[in-house]
Amino acid sequence: MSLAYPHQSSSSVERPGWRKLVGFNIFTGIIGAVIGYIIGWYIGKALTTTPYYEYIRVNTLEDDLALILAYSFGVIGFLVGMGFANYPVGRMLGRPASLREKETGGAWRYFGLSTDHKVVGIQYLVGVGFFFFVGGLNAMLIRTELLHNTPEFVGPEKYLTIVGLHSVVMLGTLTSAVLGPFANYFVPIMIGARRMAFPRIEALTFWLLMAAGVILLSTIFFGGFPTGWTGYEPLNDQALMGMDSYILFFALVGISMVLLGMNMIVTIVTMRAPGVTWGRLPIFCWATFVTAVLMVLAAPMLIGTLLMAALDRAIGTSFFLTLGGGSAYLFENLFWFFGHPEVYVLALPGFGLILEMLPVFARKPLWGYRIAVAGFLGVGLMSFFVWQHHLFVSGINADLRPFYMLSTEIISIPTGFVFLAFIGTIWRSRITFTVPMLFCFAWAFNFLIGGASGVVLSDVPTNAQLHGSFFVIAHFHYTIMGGLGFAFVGAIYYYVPKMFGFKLNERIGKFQFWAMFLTFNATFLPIFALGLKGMARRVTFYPADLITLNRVVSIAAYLLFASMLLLVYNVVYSLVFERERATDNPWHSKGMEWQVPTPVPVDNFPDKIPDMRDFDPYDYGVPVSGGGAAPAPAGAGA
Amino acid sequence: MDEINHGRRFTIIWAVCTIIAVPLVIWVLGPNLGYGEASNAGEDQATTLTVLAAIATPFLLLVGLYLVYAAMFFRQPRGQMLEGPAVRDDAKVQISWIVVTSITVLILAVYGSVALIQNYGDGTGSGASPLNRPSHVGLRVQVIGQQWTWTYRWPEYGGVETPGIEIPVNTMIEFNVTSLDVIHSWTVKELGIKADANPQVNNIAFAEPNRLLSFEYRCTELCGIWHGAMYGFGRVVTRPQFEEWIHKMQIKYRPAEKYLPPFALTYQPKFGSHRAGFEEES
Amino acid sequence: MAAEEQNAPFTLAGPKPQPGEETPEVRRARGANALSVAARLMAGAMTFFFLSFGFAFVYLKTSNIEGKWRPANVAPIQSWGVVFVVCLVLSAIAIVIANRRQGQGKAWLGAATACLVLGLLAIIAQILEYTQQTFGPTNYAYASVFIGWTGFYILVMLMSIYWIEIQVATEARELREQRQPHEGKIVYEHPDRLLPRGLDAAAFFWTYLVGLGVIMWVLVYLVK
Ligand code: HEA
Ligand code: HEA
Ligand code: CUA
Ligand SMILES: [Cu+2]
Repeated sequence: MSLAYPHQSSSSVERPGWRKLVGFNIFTGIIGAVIGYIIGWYIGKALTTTPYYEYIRVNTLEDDLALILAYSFGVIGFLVGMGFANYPVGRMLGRPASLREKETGGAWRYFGLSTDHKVVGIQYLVGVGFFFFVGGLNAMLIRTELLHNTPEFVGPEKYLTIVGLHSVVMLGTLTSAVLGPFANYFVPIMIGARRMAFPRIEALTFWLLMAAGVILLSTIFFGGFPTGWTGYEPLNDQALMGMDSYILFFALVGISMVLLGMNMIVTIVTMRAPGVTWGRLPIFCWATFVTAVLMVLAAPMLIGTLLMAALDRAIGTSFFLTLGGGSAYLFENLFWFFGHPEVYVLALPGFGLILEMLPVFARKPLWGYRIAVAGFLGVGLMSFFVWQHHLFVSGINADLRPFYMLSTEIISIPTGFVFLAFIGTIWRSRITFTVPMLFCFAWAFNFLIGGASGVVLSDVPTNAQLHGSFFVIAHFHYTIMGGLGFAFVGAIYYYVPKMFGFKLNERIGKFQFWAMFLTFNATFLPIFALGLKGMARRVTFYPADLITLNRVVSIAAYLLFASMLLLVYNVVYSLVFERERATDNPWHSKGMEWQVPTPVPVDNFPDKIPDMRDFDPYDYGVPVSGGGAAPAPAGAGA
Repeated sequence: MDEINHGRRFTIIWAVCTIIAVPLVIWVLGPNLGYGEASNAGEDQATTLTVLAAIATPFLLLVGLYLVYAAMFFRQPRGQMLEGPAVRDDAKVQISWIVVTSITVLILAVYGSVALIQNYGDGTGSGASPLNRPSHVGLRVQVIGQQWTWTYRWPEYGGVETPGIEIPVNTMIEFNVTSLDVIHSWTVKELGIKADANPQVNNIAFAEPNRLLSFEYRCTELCGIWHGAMYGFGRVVTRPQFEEWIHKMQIKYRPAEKYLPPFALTYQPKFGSHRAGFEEES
Repeated sequence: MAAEEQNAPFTLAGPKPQPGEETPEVRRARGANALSVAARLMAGAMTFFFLSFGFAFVYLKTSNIEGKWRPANVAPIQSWGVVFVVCLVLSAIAIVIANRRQGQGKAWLGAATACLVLGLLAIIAQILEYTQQTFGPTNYAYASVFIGWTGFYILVMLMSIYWIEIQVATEARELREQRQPHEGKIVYEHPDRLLPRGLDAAAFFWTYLVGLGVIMWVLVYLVK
């Protein structure tokens, strides 16, 4: 075919600089967001003044409908402004399905719609890092308020908003903390693909998450929300308009999660290079895969639940209001049916990162590959059958509690597999304590404590005292911050050389590790004690004899924050003052992602898709006779 | 490197530490975990926690000590780049790990369930119609949560509503917990009681106080701004003292009675009535 | 040392032939596969999404708090419900027929357009039902579930209809361009970058969604 391709030729012409401002980019995105917001608000207002609306709701002091529509239209406007609508509209008019034009270089692409999975990975790292920081700031406000046993700093109302913001920001954005940056960046390379299966959707997940984050933070202009991250009804319904931000945020995060998970699964299923069989998929891809399955199946439940809550607030339905025949139990059930898989969404990627990094620094093949995969699958499957362990004292299905106790405790078995793989891999290994390896060890320690405390909570008699106390807080900060958080930071040290082409300073890194590890434990170990002594969650009043312990925790938490700032400092220092260019494979890893050059070329494998039939990502170690399979290239283990 | 039998050495270290640590956990840590034991439920919860801690200790030590051991002995010699043995699997180890953890988990679950059933829900909210209820309930009290206070109604004393609570010792008490608006949770740490208060739900918990003391009750489910301030103090007293107190209360709060709805297991929630649709029919 | 050898870097340009070379054909095959996997995943996601409404339905119906599940006067208009579900089922049949006629140009186009129109008719039927029903969202639990479930079902239908629509539009454009003389032909994309359209995937998703819709209809319209 010797025809003209108008689309292609136009893109190759260099555009003047000012054109960038009026094309589809973040500025037009923001303009679109504002326009959409205003349109939505007026539509909502107009609807609210119809006689029909007067009939269904007497109390129209709050413009929930207007605000919800404003947010929704704002998001749509933002996406249109970013250029997400171009391709779909084009296709509606009959344009054929096609890949996006080839990506160009330059820093500008980090601020717009980019379909290069490596650009999206870095966008995610920065975006998630920003919200991690915001959540951390809120944690510091929490700790400052808890310096006293009576509300003296922000007061009880703002305190609840701060706790809510802290937890919702953290849980909403850190669900993508690994899948966003690292899986987007490395899964395609690990499986020998040039891109994700759906590059546009990949970009969409990121910008949706950012839009959602802005919506959540805007809650402070509407009075905040008093429900914590669980958003229990009917308090949810009673709350001021700030609650709508929470609902919209989590619903958008849910959509982003579904799309992100779907994209990951499809990529792993369909884009593997020859030789990357299921039995030889790098363990991180397996963790990503199982996490993605949880995301695709659990998040829709959350979206549905929150939409019901939104309807309750906006048009007066009564899903959750007993007075109208609804039920608060319904919300609790639906929320935790999502909520428990969600916590494993926060754990599994960490498992994957740790088991991926471990062999590199142990100089041994991953031990027990198959049992680790079985562990992931077991955790993923079981996580749908345990949700009522959050509701042991609620009175819901009380007679089924022995079942939920059992299923919850059974989850420890597959989780234990991951530990077994960890233990087996470092057995008689040759450990080099680089910074990432230190984080691996810290992960094992923290998650062990977090998991053990989870088992304590899962027993109804002990749960009776510990539910709603700071013991739960300590439990999940050990699993999330101590598990996922440490794996995340470790992975930053491990992968920054590949992603950005420079190495983080090792000395500062080690210092940062020890500071973070010690202050983390100094923060959250005493919280177990606080919980056992009866410190309730989400309160600004607590017994006076717990003041000292709380102050210890607060000071440790400040130091923890400082240690995280040290990480930022390390990035700046290594980038600006002591730029040590990273080689292609500074850790001598055998993983595919380290065999490609740094910086990674735009199409990852520009000339050829690699033939990975003889490739083994865990090809470490010297063969031994007996005591296990020979290190055959079939990385499946024997 | 191969002269050292790491397996045996580590097992010995672990066994010694376990033998030292488990008794410490049971007899030193256990009693100091700060549990309320002033009722049958609380006592059982304290025992359970100690048992769990004792079972967890070997596992914590196994992994924890192993991390230290590995960090000490499985090191890369400085400045070298040696590879470890390329072992990828060991069916025996894996199977024994699976068996041990599975058995532990089963023991835990069975233990927890038995304790739960034997103690009639162990002081937790067990829904409106718990399957196993004690035959010897000596007193019923209704606990009503609302933003942001607790009140109590006494069905056996004419349904009088009191702002405070006193309960007789050595009596099996049935707590009927409900709410007038959002979800609360009635918690008495000393007595080991915790039951969510849901609107239009009667959530029953049983406990039998076994000593005289004054206790703190507190809300432990987020219910709005003053959730943290939703606490108060009650007392466990002897039966005659209790009768005396409740009679005083009956006299004191008689005038208020005509404003109260008749005693019921649940009440119309206050919250939600601003909606026009809800009031129209029914 | 043996370890030395093991450390030898893996080279991308191995001597072996490259069966995985991403030719446009490979890309199209993979793309089609990707779309059908994606359609199945989205079907799973939609199942769980509507499961939340289904669970709400069953839960609130069985607990029937204070008898407020469904007052006697709250009843949707059955005739519109029948129109709704008949249109739905017919549109599913239409897309199945269309899928059998892949590559047959006009024949395909007719069936697919029928599916599109029937889907829209179903939506219109449901909306007309809203305007004529005698109850609103505040009339207790059943009314809430009814409006929430059908409302969001319509929203999902619209998204799915969009998918069908782009198939129809693409096909229509291609037919039109085939009829036109050669010079007027506009090729929008380099043929190397073209992706498959995913007819099977869209058809699968639509039929699955119709299945969910029929279940919804049985529950919210028929079950007393
Ligand atoms: C990353 C997140 C994460 C993870 C991985 C877990 C893991 C677990 N959680 Fe946790 N949990 C949360 C996040 C997480 N949790 C959050 C956020 C909440 C609070 C929500 C809120 O109310 O706001 C919560 C609350 C919570 C509760 C409710 C508490 C309450 O409010 O009453 C319970 C109760 O059962 C529980 C149990 C468990 C268990 C049994 C595990 C298990 O998966 C742990 C398994 C791991 C191990 C056991 C250790 C390793 C295993 C071995 C070494 C093998 C040997 C072990 C044995 C044989 C036992 N969790
Ligand atoms: C991902 C989850 C997550 C994380 C990481 C944290 C981290 C922390 N949390 Fe959080 N917390 C929750 C989730 C999380 N929390 C949840 C779900 C709740 C329950 C809320 C509810 O009841 O509803 C809660 C509640 C909660 C409470 C109880 C409030 C109450 O109930 O009254 C407290 C109190 O101390 C607390 C403290 C802390 C502290 C000190 C940290 C510290 O670890 C924070 C340290 C600081 C940082 C981590 C930020 C530093 C980051 C940077 C400097 C950016 C770096 C850049 C890159 C990485 C690129 N949290
Ligand atoms: Cu009442 Cu918290
Ligand atoms: Cu859980």
